[in-house]
Amino acid sequence: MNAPTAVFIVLAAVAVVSSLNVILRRNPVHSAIFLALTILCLAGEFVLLNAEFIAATEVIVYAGAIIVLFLFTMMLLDIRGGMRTRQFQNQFGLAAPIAVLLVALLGAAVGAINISGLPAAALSTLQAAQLGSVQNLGQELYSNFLLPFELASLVLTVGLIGAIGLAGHGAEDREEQVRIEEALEFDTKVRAKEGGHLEPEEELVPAGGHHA
Amino acid sequence: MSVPLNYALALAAVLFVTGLAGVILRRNILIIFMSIELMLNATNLNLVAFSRYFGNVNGQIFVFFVLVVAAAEAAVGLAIIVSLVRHYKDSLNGDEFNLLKG
Repeated sequence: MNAPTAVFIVLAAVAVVSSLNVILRRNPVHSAIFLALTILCLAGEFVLLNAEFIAATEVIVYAGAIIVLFLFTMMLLDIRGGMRTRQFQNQFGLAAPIAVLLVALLGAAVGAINISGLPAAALSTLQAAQLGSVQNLGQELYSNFLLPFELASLVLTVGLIGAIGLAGHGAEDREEQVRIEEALEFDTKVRAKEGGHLEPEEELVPAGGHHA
Repeated sequence: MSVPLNYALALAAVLFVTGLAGVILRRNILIIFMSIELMLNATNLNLVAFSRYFGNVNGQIFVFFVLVVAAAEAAVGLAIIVSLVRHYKDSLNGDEFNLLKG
C-alpha cells in the first residue's frame, strides 16, 4: 500500500465516523461541527484525487459558507425545543431491510467496477498534477462550459432573491404595509382637496388614525 | 494511479447511505437538511474519483456546478425553515409541517 492510499483510508475513517455523528447527535450545533469535519476530510480526499481547486472551493463554500449559514439559522431559531423531544422516527422496521438492500446493491456495483472493461487513463505524474489545476479548470469553464457557468451565476442570484423574499416577510412587514396604505389614502384625500373635489368641512386625518 | 477507484466509490457509498439514513430517520429538519448536504458531497466524491480515473476534467466541472446548486439550495432551504418556524409553527419537527397534506 502506497502513502496516498494510507492517507486516504485514514481520512475516510474520520469522514465516516464524523458523518455518523452528524446524523446521531441530539444537538444540531454538534451535527454542524461534525459536518464541517466531514467536509474537511472530503477536501483532503479531493487533494489525493488531484482535484486541488475543487478541494479549496469545497472548504470555502461548505465549511465557510453553508455551515456558517446553518449555525446562523440555529442562532435565529430556538433549537432547545427540538432537542427535548424524540429524535428518531419509528420506521426502523422498514428502514433496516431497505438499508441492507441498498448497501448490498452499492457494494455489488463498487465490486464490479474493475471487471467492467473501462480502462483507467494512463496519466503521467505531471499530467495527473495538472488535471485539477486552476488553469485547466478555468480554461474548460470559460470555453466549453461558458453558458452553464453564466447560468450558475443566475441560479445564485435567484437563490439569493428567493432567500431574502422568503425570510424577509414578517409581521413587521405587514404593519409597514398597512402604514403605507394609510399614507397613500391620506395623500389621495389631500390631492383631491387641492383639486377641489373634497368637501370643505371634511377633516384631513389619516384614515387609520383612530387605531394608530 | 495512486488511490484505487474502488476505495473512493466505497467511501462515497457509505457517506451517501449515512445521509439517506439521516433524512429518513431523523425528526429535526435542520439535521435532515445537513444529511442532504452529506449526500451531495458523496456524489461529489464519486465525480472527482471518476474524473481522476478517466483523466477527464469534466467530472470536476460537474462538482463545481453541484457546489453552486448546493449553495443556492442551502440559502433557500434555510430561509424556508426560518419562515416556517416563525410564522407557521414554532417547532423543528419535520412531521408537524403538513401544509400540503390533502
